[in-house]
Amino acid sequence: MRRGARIALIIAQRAFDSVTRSRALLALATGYTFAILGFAWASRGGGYLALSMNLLTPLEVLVPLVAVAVGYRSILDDRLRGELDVLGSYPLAGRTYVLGTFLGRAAALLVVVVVPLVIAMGTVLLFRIERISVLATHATADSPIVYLRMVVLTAAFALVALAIAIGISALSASSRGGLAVAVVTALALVIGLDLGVVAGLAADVVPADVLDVLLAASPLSAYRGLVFELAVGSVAPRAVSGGIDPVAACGSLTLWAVGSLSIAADTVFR
Amino acid sequence: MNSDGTDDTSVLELRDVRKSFGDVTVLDGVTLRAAADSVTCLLGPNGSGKTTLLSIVAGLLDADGGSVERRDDTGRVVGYLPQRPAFRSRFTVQETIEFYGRLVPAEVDVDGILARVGLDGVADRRVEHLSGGMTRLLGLAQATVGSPSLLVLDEPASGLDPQLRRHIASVIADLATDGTAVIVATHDLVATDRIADEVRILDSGSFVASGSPDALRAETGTDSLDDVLDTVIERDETIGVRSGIGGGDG
Repeated sequence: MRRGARIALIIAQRAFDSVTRSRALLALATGYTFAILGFAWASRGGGYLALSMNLLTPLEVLVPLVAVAVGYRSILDDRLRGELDVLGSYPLAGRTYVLGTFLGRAAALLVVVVVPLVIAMGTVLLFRIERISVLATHATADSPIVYLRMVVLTAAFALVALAIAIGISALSASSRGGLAVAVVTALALVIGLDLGVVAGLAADVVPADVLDVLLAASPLSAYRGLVFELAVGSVAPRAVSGGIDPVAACGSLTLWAVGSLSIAADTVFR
Repeated sequence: MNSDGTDDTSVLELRDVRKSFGDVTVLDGVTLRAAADSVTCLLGPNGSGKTTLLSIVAGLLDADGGSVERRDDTGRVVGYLPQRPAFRSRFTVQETIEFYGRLVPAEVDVDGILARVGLDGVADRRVEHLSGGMTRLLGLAQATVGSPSLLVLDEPASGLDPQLRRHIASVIADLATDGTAVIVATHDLVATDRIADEVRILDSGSFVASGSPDALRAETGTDSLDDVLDTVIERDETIGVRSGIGGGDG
């Protein structure tokens, strides 16, 4: 294994240990799990499609919040303690440190986000009224694949939100500033960019024919659109569309993640 | 002696280093050389530029002008102890040094490092349960990980009791062996007298005196480093050289 990759894994292990030894993560995971299971309970008996639809909106709000909570102090705390200065005296590149931090925190975040979603599948298995739900055509049978696709997309969305949180953490100089920027960013992720596009559309600033691409620029819209296009939309009537270009949405999420981590790598030891 | 004025024992060469923060000049033409197996103590009032100088020496801050050359013959060039070392909580002393040890190419003897600073008895203690002095010792242990040829220590004993200060001073003296140069910013004049091969007095961003403790006492006709400081810095002020500039604590 190359030295850079080995060092990134060492940083990742420490980042994972740091976050998993924290009681705050346990509290966060508990709250998130109860929320997800609560929404799943409310949609019991409806099948995987109904479960996916009912969880989508809560996930749009909860996942960015959980990701920001897991990531926003990751680099900021090292800076405030002066540990970044100490790390700067080791043969350690900024990109290696940021990548390791991301990988370690991502592992913890994925456990927190994905495990309750998998458990929520149990509500379908336990309370299902019909074994197979048929919607409009013979090609639209309800299936766990639908739900698992949404879980995978949710995991990807969580990773993108974490990357953004780590970028903010690297740019923050103070605890209070980091929290403020993290909250503003979480709000921007959840509603801000979408509202901006809607406002632009209402004011005729945004042409309707590029709406699918513009919506894809917002991580939240990209996630929601991909869920509709690739998960729910595969079995739902045609009217259920993401309203986005899936390629643009994937590109947008990738850009957000890579861009945020690149900014963090470039600024962390400055 | 090499053609550039250095010799083979030279671990660090700073020439005419300048640094400003906005309109405030913190370092103004500082030249410094550190030789292997030596301890150089930087003395000076708060705000004289010691911490800024150490940050530049450690490679954490870029100088605005001048040159900085460090001997680059190991995986880790500079070991750095910040003024207020702090470590990630929920990890033990052993885990902390093991982590840093895995960042350097060479094999690291974690037990040996902890024994050298006197922390071998608390290896399993979590860092948040260490006293201030023990945390400083852990910082010192961390600075030595990877056997860097240059150690930069920023006030390693400030705020500690006399016994611990003596212990840290003897650890520092012990570190200046096997080709290692140690540069220490300190206000501890007793320790300076004990361990310094060379004393550099920094005031308002420039060195105003340098030499061994004995040489400085002889030059100023005083009996203690305390009096040397008073004399040198007072003399500097009376001839109207910069005063009251500098940033941070150092």
